[in-house]
Amino acid sequence: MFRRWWLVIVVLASLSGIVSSAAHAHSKINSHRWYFGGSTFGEAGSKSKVDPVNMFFGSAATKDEVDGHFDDHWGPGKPDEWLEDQDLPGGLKCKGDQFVRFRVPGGFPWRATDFHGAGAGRSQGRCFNRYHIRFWGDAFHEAQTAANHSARQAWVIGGAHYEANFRDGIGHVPALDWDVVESRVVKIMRPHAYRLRWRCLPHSFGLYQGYRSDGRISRLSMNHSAGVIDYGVGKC
Amino acid sequence: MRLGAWGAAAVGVLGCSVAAEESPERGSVSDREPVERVTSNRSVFNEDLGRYQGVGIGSSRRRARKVFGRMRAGATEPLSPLGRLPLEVGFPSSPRDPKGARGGYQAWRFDGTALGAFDGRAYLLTVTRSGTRTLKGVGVGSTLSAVRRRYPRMGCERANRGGDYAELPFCTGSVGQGRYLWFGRDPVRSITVSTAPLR
Repeated sequence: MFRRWWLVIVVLASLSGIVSSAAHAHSKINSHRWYFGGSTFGEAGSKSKVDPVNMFFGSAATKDEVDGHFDDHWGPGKPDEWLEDQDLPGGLKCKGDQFVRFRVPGGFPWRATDFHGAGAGRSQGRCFNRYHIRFWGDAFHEAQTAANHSARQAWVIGGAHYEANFRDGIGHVPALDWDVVESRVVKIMRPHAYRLRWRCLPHSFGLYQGYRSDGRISRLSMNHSAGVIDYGVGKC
Repeated sequence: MRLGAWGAAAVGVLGCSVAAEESPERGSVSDREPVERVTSNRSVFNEDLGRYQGVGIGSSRRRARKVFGRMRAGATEPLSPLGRLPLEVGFPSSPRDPKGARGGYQAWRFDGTALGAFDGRAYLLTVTRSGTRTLKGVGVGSTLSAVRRRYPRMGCERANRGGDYAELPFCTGSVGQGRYLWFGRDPVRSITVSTAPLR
């Protein structure tokens, strides 16, 4: 009887370990190297950083799943309407793809934006003042199967910014601090569990387009956990 | 509150929750920082010293406020002059931090000028005032081809290519030990000098 209880305890402990590590283990290699870079670039191969990567969507997320949750929380009657990729007018030059580098065995390839989402802002879908988030899924983990990566599509990353359309002929510019945008987006997504400033993401630290990024990525779970407000301990 | 309203507030009053606006100092409070004698031409941007009107790299917040006047300052403020957005004026898209810089970052914003600072001392200066010229005679209002003629060792390119932000034509390069100079947009809308590379 006593032995059976021990067995139960050991099994439970193992399961909780698996659950907690599944949430974290596949974003980093051996807990220290991230699978993705900290900046976005306008072109593959570019050395000129454009935006910081500042959002991490966890808990068995796919980009479609993340998009569904954004649609729920930003929908009609909510803070703003959520526009999906296909709703965004590309011809107005307000949803250009950007690139993030991902770590795979034997390389560090570039990947273009998988998906765009945005608040409609004041212009009802036009390229104007609004929140805009690019998503990149972790489908590249397919390449990791040889390294015994059992969990695929465990997370999605995002670059969130607030943009304004400038009317003096130069077009479209970031118009709010990166960390302020990050906090607002995460809080709009209540009641999702989240950790603001979850971890330090190297190379997302510094000045981008005149606004400072603190280099810490925020984590948003796809699980609803009403009232959870947690500040991460990530330091850069 | 609708996000549209948030947006309007955000763009209209950038970073209002954190920034504090301050008036110029009055009276005889003297700053102990060594002060470069301002020459008769107040529109000279001295890239060798990294200063404009005697204020720039190494300056304190107090000194900057005393010379440039009304100020907004804060860590979430854009590093551009009051009422202007960084990309609008051609501010560098991803400038590096000075070596050893850690905490205490602040943007100090004034009419026509802005400074970036760590731990209370400026490391970067940007000026957008019309007619401002560097020691080699080009500046705000000049074309980038004129800049290239005066600074032939500078590299001139376009930042933000491919993405959805406005492309940013610029020329930049080193102009001496620990001095990096940047001219943004064509014709030039801003001149920036820093102790760290600007691209």
